[in-house]
Amino acid sequence: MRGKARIAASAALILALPACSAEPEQPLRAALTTPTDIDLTWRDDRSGIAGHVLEFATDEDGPYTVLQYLAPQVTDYRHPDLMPRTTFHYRLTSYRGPTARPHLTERPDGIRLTWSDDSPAEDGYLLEIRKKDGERYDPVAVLDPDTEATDFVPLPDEKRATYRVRAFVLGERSNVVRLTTGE
Amino acid sequence: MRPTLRTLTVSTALCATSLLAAPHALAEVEPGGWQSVSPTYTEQERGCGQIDGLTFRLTCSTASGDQRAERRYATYTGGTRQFEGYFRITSLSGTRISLKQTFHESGSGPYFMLAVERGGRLYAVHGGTTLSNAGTVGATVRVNTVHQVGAEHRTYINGSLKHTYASPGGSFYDKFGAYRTNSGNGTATVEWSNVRFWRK
Repeated sequence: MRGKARIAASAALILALPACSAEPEQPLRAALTTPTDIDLTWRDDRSGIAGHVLEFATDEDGPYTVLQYLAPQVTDYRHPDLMPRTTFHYRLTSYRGPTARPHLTERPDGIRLTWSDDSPAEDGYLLEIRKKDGERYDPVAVLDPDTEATDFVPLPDEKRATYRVRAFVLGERSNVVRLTTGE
Repeated sequence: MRPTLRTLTVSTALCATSLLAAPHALAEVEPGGWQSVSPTYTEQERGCGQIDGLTFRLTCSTASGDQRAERRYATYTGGTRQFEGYFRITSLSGTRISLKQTFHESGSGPYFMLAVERGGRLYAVHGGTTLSNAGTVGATVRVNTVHQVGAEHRTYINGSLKHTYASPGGSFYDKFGAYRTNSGNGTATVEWSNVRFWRK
């Protein structure tokens, strides 16, 4: 992390944003907490939401890049060590969709997961895992629509995890927030 | 169909826009003075490497020899250069495939190599530093490299600084695609998009 102590320049931005983004139709908020770190927070109390996709771009017209698919319990994200004096745009899109338990086959260098594509019009599949003793499922891979199999290489702390796949459909998109980094 | 993001509601007004005197949004990163450039390139298909537009494939699992499908851009010798591109690995049965190189033509050769291991770990081949775990199959990843010749080479993954490396002087060039590293093997398919270059 660079420049953690130099936050004075961004203080005005942090103060200015909440007053604007507190409106219900603008659930995504952003704060420049150091010159090169942006903290994003959001709230989504709607029922049936299975998670959110957080994206960023440095041009307001995009292209936007997915930072992460996030479980519904997650309501904040730090985008760290950013490019200096660069404008970042963020947006959040909710998704819904059913889950299914895949069939697992052990392989020498990972596992193979297979399932039936019973969803009529998904935007894609998410592979979600719950680590041993974990309290929630988190997305770890995004797959094309109509997919019925994938190979996965678990990290050391994922080898005793529980797996499921979700046929997801993207929903409403949030407001866009924009901040410019310092330094 | 890829998992594109569908918009069901028109986004509301840009909250921060009305509050912040942000500069005009430019695609390139880091402080200004950048000039967009379009360096020429040649394509390299060696071994089982195949190129189709911006799709680069290694069609064999051979763990030896020269297996590559890459674009090699024109040599530069000074100033500061920026590369931006987005890659999406659409299949990776193999591992340790180089995706982007900054090549030291007048020096030691592959000076900086960004590679991916099966499972999505992005790492710097020289030194082995992990840059990110974002290189999973299906995910689009944005890469920016800023190279101050004779000073420093910086690599940003999805906007975040992940690698800084001292740079000697001399002549360099950019390459991207799919390239089997010494300890790697295919098969692999990598799609690149929105590739741009700047200098100052």
